[in-house]
Amino acid sequence: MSRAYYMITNNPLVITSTYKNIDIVPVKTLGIMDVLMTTRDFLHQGHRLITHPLTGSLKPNENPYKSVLISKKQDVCDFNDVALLEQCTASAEKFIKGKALPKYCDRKANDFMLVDQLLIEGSLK
Amino acid sequence: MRLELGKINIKDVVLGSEMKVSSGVLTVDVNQLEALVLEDDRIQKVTIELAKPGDSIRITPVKDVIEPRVKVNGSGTIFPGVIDNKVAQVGDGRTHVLSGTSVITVGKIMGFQEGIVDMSGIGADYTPFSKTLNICVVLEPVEGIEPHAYETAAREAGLKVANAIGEAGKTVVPDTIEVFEHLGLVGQAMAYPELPKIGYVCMLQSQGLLHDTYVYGVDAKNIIPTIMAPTEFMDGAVISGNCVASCDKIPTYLHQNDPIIEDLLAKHGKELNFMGVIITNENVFLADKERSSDGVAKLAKMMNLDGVLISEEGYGNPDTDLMMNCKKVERNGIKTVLITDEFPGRDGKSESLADAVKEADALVSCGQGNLVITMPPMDKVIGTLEDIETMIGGYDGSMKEDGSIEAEIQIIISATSAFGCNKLSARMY
Repeated sequence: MSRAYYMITNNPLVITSTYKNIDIVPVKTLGIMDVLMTTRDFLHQGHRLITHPLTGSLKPNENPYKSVLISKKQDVCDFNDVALLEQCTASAEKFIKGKALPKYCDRKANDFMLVDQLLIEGSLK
Repeated sequence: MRLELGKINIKDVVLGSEMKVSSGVLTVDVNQLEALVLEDDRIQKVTIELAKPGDSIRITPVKDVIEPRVKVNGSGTIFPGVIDNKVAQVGDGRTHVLSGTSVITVGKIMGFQEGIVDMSGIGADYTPFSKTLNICVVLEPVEGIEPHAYETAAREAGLKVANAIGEAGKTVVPDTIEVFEHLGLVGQAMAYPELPKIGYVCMLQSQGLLHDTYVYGVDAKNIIPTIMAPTEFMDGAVISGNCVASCDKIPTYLHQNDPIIEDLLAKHGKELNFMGVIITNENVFLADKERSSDGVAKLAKMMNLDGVLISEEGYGNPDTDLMMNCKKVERNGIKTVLITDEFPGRDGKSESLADAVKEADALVSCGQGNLVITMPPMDKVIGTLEDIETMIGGYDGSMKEDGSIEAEIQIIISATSAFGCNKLSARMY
């Protein structure tokens, strides 16, 4: 199994870090929607989902930062991965429609960055 | 395995200079507890405060809730793998419980992922911990500590305090003694061959740092599914080490007093044959989810179960584990009932879970976390109100000038816990 990955992330702490065998795909917008959309585009091209798109049990309208690990290797498009991603996207849209993402002070924003980073780095160990 | 669970009914708790139980009154030695917590050089300051049912007290930010217990005989110690590093098997012998009390750890670790316990008012109706006599351990870490190091220190402080208080019940004659016995899988199956064999799949939060649960001291993300006797939970073999959203957090107290286990034991030998608990995890890797759900389905089949209850902890990522477990267990010809809370938006009209499979056709709802309530001001706050508006469930304007709080019930500890410890549910007509 290939050990090379892409990390799709909008988390500044992750974007500025380096990880062995991982290429960072930076997403510039806050909130998880563009991270999910970018991930979807990669899945359509045959990359595989490695980590769950809704890590952290933080609701999508509360969490500004998200990092998702996918395979670097391409194969045929896996429809189970696409279906899971689509379900997560629908769930995220529902939350955001009901209540938009708040603006956080720096300390809070940093807490959210840190949780996302710790979760994704924890998964790499 | 055979456990005698002796419950000592505690009617009141007072702060004092010795640790004792006398005529149902628990006296807590404040100096002993403070010294115990401050042995850890990651903790700078600790205060011990009391909160009783009906008090005008708000406790926040709450990290964990733990029930004081003590092993009287049988192997091991309460919270094996954590307290004194003794990892011996528990769930056998005799255990005493200081029933009606709890230890609550209070501290700002990750501002948005701790919650509120109100001791009176409408907020009190939503949490089981407004009904317990609470010994609050308010923690302040040393400057510059990393959040995960502080989480570890706070977790261990709570367990050590609960353990020290529990010791006060060791020689006290309990008010009630219940006996729970597991005869082994063959013995258990033969005891009530005419009744349906039911198992309970307990999904443990295990997404990573600040989102972990520990089994005999082992991080649950490193386990593969295994079978446990109900009595092991009663002796603290499973402890909470996570800061997930308050409403669906399973504090250690609820692992010690799992309402699903209690109900299954109450019906055991009458309506069903409770065969045991399968524990599994909720990791972030999809490959881990596949491996663990395969393991759950295999164990359910090897136990010859007819039906399985499955509970989860958290939202989003764990919904996928819940559905994978459901699908694979059902494909083995075993019926499942899922137990979870819901997040269908404030109007209640959207999809409740982030994942679904067609096999998930029986589900018990433990309420919806998006419900908004206003909790009245309290005379006293144990902890701080500093983070209310950025806690999960809070928002800009949640904290009112008069001290009241308008927020989604997500902000209240265990308000919609998927262990069903509360009064919320939903019915389909």
